Amino acid sequence: MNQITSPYAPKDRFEVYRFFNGLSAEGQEGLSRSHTRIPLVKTFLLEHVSSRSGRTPKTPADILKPLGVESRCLDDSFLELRVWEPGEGDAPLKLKTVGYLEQYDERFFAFYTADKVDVAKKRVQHWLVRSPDLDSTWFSGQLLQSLWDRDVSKRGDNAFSKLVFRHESIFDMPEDATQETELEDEEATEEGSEEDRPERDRRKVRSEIRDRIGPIRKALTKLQGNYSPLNALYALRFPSSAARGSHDLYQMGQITNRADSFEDHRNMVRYLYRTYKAVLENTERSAWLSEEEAPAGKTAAYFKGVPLIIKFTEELSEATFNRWVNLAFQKRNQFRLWGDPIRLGPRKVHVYGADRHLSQPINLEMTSDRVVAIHPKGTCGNTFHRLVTNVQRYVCPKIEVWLGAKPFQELMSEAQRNSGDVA
Amino acid sequence: MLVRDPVFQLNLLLWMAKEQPADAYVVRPLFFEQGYSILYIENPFPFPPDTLRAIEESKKEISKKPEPELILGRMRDKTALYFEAKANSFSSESETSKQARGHLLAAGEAFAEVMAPLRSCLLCYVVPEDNRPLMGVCLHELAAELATAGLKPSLHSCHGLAVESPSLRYSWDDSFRKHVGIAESSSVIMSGITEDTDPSPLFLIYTDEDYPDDEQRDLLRRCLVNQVHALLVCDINRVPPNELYQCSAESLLIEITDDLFRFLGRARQKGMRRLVTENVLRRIAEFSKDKYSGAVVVQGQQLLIRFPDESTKTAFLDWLEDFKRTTFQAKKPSDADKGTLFEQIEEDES
Repeated sequence: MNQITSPYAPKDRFEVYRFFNGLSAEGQEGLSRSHTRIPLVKTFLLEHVSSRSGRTPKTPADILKPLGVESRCLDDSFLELRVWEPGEGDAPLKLKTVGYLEQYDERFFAFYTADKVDVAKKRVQHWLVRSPDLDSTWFSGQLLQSLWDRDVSKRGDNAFSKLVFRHESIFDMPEDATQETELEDEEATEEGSEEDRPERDRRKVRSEIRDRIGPIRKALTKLQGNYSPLNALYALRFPSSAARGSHDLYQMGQITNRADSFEDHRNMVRYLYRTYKAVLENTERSAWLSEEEAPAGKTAAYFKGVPLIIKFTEELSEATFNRWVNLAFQKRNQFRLWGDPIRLGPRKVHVYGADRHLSQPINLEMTSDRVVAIHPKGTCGNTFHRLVTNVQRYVCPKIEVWLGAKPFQELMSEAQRNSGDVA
Repeated sequence: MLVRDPVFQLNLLLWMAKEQPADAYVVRPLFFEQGYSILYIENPFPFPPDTLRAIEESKKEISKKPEPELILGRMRDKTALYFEAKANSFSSESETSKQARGHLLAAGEAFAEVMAPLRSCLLCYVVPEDNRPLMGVCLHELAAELATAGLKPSLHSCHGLAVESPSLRYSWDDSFRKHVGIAESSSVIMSGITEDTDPSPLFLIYTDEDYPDDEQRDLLRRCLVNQVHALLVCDINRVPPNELYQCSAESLLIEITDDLFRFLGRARQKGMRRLVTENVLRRIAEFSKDKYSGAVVVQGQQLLIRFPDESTKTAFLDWLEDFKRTTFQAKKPSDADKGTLFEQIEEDES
């Protein structure tokens, strides 16, 4: 039976809040009995490429219209999103509400939906692939670790949290197998579901720690030191500080509500939005230093920005390096890069290419033990965070990252301090 | 061989001024660590009128428009470094000494006048390490000669590059130590150099010149062509149907160099414009002539694109994004070629 996942013709956003509140309470009740009858409310935090690279910002409605999404304004910054779907049997197409979009500012939107996770993720992925104006927010392993260190680990030793780690060395395996990792449903993956499937010999780690915060904090650093994939943090559970339950944050900006209040969920999403925005702005400030006081005329003080350096703690084999170079620039690869690698040695290439998703130039040096990236002035900071996220997930689970001379972790700590730490 | 190449040398100097982590740098950011940042790259130095008059009155062979590779500045004490990189040292009798006299005067008293609030500048010649002593002798002789003629040359310094496998070492002299306030006299600036791998860091400057490695003769032009290609792919992806997109070799070069192209010497500008026009725009024009007539046109210096619909745009981008089909060449367009698109354009414009 189809679940009702949206209120009928809501008059304002608060009607939607109240409806989602009901779902949240019912969902939380189901969670505490270890099963849910209805999908949980979830949010996808999206970035509009806005005025970066000289582009004119668009309204959410203008971005979504070419994607076949019809918008209905409930107020200035809250839209009901509807798509045409086939009716049952021979029934004609009908408009179905798939969720609600709140515009936080010119650059960030939150898409709230109560659709099942696989349906919702597929829909959002479809929008992201088809629209050069939209991108995910990229909560890299480094940023999630920083959120754990500075926030979750301090939410009380007895509160429960969950840390999910994912790393798949996709370039360690035959080339035809590297396209199979997209859109796997981390919420629905059950242990044992892969028993009947053939398995490839490659490093693939999906691990989770679900425990009280105190014991996790005591063990985590040692575990991460002993086993590098445990540095590739993929999801993090925030116990709610105001309601009953928690919120799960995933790497591509999905936040799932496991608390009994939608308002509490929205507060958490807003907190993560502020944090991400501060990190992104700090990234962009650090990447392109403002022009120094110059003696006269034009200077090259900001010339080509500072490099992003990602150092691998485990060097890639020559075969793995070559597969990575061959595949990273193919159309459907996770890295979404475009370019023609120039060979400078068996384990070194230069690429003067482009970020395929945002259509922005990018210069890369790829070697078996590091990536150096230089972005032209004005490139969206998301490009840095996507690259770091993908390298850690698919190439090397334990990495050290710097933007210029500044460690990435410091960049995040600064931003988190400035955005007001705990939700 | 690379340590003698001016493009490699300048690229290294730029990386040495670029902010990088102390323990994971690409090239040790020696100048950045000392508080220096990039002010000018390959920008001709404009002498003040009184210096020009003094040069003329001296009747000496002195370049009136010296073009340093790089000028770095440090605002906290208003000091500057003025770099010239050379494949070899030269004697004070050689033709190159005309240019060196110009550099000595530019970095001298004239510098503070032109580059205020910077006050004190040191001329730094970068050469292969084994040429450093002779280079020092030459600069010393030239500075003495200028001073005798009543001109005001700068203090000078000689720096050497040497491969000490598996490292690249950069060395300097006492003048540099005092001017910058650094205790060391040399430093490894790159490590992990192996015989089978070109040590070049990502190129931060662009040129249509040959690369010194015989097997990679087109490398620098390939970098330039690929950058222009990438920019076109990005730009054209963002152009909606029925909207006009226009660019020229010049506008593309200005954009990929973050405006630096405007500061380059005329000969290099022309060479780079020629490369982009002949190897990229001409190829696009030829390919589009029949298939995209009216939608993709090269007119004078301009590439003009207006797709009538989404499917035309998609089909054109399918071609543009496919390296096997575009096959933009990186060979230097031959000077002997007459009637090239570039020649026609330059003629039309003149």
